[in-house]
Amino acid sequence: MTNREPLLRVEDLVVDYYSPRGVVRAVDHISFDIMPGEIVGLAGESGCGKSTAANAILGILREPAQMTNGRIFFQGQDIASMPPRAHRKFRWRHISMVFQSAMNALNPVLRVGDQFVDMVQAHERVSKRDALDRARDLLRMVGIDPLRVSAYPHELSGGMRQRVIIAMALALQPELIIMDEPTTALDVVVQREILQEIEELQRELQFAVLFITHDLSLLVEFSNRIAIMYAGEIVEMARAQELFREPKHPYTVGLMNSFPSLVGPKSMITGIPGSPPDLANPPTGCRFSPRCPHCTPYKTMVHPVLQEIEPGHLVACHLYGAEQELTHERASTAS
Amino acid sequence: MSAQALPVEVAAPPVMRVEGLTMHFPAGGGVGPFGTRRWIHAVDDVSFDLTPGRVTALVGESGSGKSTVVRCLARLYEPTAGTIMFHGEDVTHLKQRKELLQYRAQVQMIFQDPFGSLNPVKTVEHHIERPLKIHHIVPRNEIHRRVLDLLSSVGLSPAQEFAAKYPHQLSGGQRQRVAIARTLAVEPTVLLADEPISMLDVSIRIGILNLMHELKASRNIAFLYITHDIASARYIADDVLVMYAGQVVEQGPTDAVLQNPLHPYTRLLLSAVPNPEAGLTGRRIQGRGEVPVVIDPPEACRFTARCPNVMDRCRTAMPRLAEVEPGHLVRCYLYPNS
Amino acid sequence: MMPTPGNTPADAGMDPITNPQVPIETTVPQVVPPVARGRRLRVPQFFSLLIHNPKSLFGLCMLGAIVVLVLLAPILAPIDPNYMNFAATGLPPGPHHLFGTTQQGTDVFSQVVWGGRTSLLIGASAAALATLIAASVGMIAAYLGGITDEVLNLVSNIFIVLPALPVLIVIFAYLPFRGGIVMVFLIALFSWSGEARVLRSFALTLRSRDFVLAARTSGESMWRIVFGEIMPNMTSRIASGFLGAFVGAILFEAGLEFLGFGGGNGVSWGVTLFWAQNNAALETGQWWHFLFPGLALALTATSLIFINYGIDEISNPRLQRVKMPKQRKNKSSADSSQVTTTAAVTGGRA
Repeated sequence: MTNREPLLRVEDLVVDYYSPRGVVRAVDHISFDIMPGEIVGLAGESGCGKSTAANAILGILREPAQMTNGRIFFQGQDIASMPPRAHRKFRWRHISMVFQSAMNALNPVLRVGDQFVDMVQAHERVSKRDALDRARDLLRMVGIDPLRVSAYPHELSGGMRQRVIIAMALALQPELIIMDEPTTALDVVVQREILQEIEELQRELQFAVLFITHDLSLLVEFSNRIAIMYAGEIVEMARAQELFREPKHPYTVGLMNSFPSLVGPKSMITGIPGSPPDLANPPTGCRFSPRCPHCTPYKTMVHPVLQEIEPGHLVACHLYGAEQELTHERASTAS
Repeated sequence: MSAQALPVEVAAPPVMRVEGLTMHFPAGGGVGPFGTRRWIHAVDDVSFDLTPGRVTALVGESGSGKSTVVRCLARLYEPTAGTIMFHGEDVTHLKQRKELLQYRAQVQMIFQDPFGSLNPVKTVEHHIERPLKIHHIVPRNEIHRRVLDLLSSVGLSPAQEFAAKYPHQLSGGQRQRVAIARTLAVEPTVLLADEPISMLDVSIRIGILNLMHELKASRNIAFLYITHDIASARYIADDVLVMYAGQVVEQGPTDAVLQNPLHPYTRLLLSAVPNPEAGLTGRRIQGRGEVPVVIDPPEACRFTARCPNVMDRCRTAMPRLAEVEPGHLVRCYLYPNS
Repeated sequence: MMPTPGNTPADAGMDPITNPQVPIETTVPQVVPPVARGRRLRVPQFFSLLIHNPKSLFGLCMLGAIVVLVLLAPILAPIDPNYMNFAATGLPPGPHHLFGTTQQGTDVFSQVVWGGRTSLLIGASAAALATLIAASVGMIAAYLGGITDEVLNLVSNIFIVLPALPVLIVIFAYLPFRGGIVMVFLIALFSWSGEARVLRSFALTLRSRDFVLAARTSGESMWRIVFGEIMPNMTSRIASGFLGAFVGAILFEAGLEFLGFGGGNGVSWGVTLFWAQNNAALETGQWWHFLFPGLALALTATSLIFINYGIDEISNPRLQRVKMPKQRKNKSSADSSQVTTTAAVTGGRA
């Protein structure tokens, strides 16, 4: 690993939801960074806080969610403390995003090309003709016939619309693209095509990607590093192949065991018993303890902290790193 | 016949026989050039058997027509052509409520979305006792006990507590278990499962598949498992049908089809499944594109536009689904007999 | 409030720690507050939610007070509302006649209190009848579809475009008999159609939901599906429709009476207003003759509308505001993620 400055650094991020039932901590003290040109995967089940974390980075949390702690540095600048206007402007220049539902975000009454032009002209002073030229280039890059600039969104299939969105995300040459389940709504074949295109583009243009998905096997293929989130926390973070070959946290192991394989001998797999906790009332100690096959009563009392057990491999689990300080229940120390 | 643990083996005769099932929907946009109605060919000429104690998987992407097949079998749609034989009787066009009820007491369906398939204002108990009452499965005074039995049998215990809950108090996996318990209430011989795990969290999907596997063995149920996830089909199914644009392109025993895929589309599907061992690069898939909507198709193979092995013949005639190896059928001119 | 899901003692008893094979989900991942599901509640829970909402609580209290006053009429207003005391005509409000008296010497307070009985009763019955028709027509049309739907739609469209008041005036002019019951039927006849269309479209969205298909595959009959499975999901929509019809019916009744089509011999708010108009009460400075029955009408309508606001908030949690602590830093740059998403990809010009 080079010792370059990280492109994005998230420090101790906390996001709370205020509901009539009380405060729900959706993202609980997570920290990670993304190097320039790196693809980082954020994996977890629904409700684990991965999308909320992304929204916090983008500064688009909406009530009743609120970032209550933490700092977010982009190229060394703390973007979370910027005033909203400046933050938004900054974000347009440097970060773009692709959402799962983004393919429905195209304006149905405008031609694809015009939407490109509008978007580019909102940020740069370019002529319509230049903007359209750029749109054609970008469409070609994502594998769409450039003539489609004059198509309306409904004339495109779901996969093509998602490609258009990716092309738009590339238009301003951002350093970071956040992709939140960009291919989940698509069929496997289309999903694969799009991912291969993203990977090729990434190699060519060297942007960094934060890729959020529930599909771990996909991430292992696609990303350089992976962070696993469970119940609002990062429980394991490592290089993709390392995570795949030597998962440490029992939750990661369980996730790996949840996908039937197409190769190798057929055997009974068990997945993970139970289901994720209610974040309004999380289990004490380790959040995974009620579902963990290795759990002991002692471990349910003490909250494990994320620590580096091998270079670049971080785990929050009592099975690793024996001499650990007894951090008492997080609730008493937090807030 | 509820919980007999039969050691099932293959020889059992099929309980349901689907032959030439065809479903056409009128296309939007009214009539074609010569004043004829245009038709979407959602399902064309699909045939298969369902056998007690076996899982048959119907694999395909969205638009392949697999859900339409299930809905025809569940008698939610009226097929355009073809027959559905159940226990040797033609049930394709059952109309009378009494006959339909008899059929529904045997053939049940599990829906894809566990958040939509349970009525939000009704308790879990209501969902399971309704079929018991409609079909008079047990005497009235035993209904409650049977509800609890069913809940425990799908792994929801303490059953008493789950029975009183409302759907929104359950997680996705628990809801899907309730949905399965509801179908089991009538002691069905056939279960139609329409993508039962695709909307669940990854860590609990396997639990539902394992439950289905256990039910097939312990209750000797014939399963039809609809999925887009070919790996899960490999995990649970005994037989596989691969559908593309309304037609079966390949069908046969799971191992035969997945280890020796013959049709180019089956190969494409298999190559698109994420494989952490190999990584993305170097496995650029062939046959880009999406499943087309088939409106009044010409006489040609429907996969021609994406097929890497396309020949002139494919564009002028429709290959037949032909047996290439024993039990292994494929619809492609690359192989003899088609 | 609804029972809180989560860790229950019995869940813990199952103990997947000692037995990791137990394929049970022990806890429920739920971040959505229970009120967010208010749209599909059973009646008792629904009522308790109403009480917890400040707006509907206000409306309920107000309506409750009006109903209590009206029910206590024999105690509160012992003077016969039709008794003409020629010794006390046209008196302004005072200690003996709280709301004053009319030119005929009848007591306005008595008329308002006793008249409330008629107005509320006719309003409620007409609204109930209209809601019943609306719900049946709307849901049957939605569920059956096809020709039934077309016919029922046609009928409700006809009733929507018919100008109710003129037609009623014509009917009343030719009707050989008059009275409360006729009034109820006629008002109901002209108030169900709009609601029927609303309920139809609501039921249409429910009809395509999987739980209805699931009920069909388990063999439920059409009637049970419509009234046992679909309708309970529409409780709050129906309740709000009923309240709307209630307001309409009370005003409708008052209007008809005011125009003299009720016969003018009963006691209701409309009748009092009718006589006030007849006696040119305003011109002669007897404002109390107009003001009090008018106020009673307005207050009743207000209370019903407040309850309706409450129902809206319960069934649409977006309208509810959760108290947020003071923002440490101003983070949110937009108020809806969908908007933000769109804005994000199209350049934020939204």
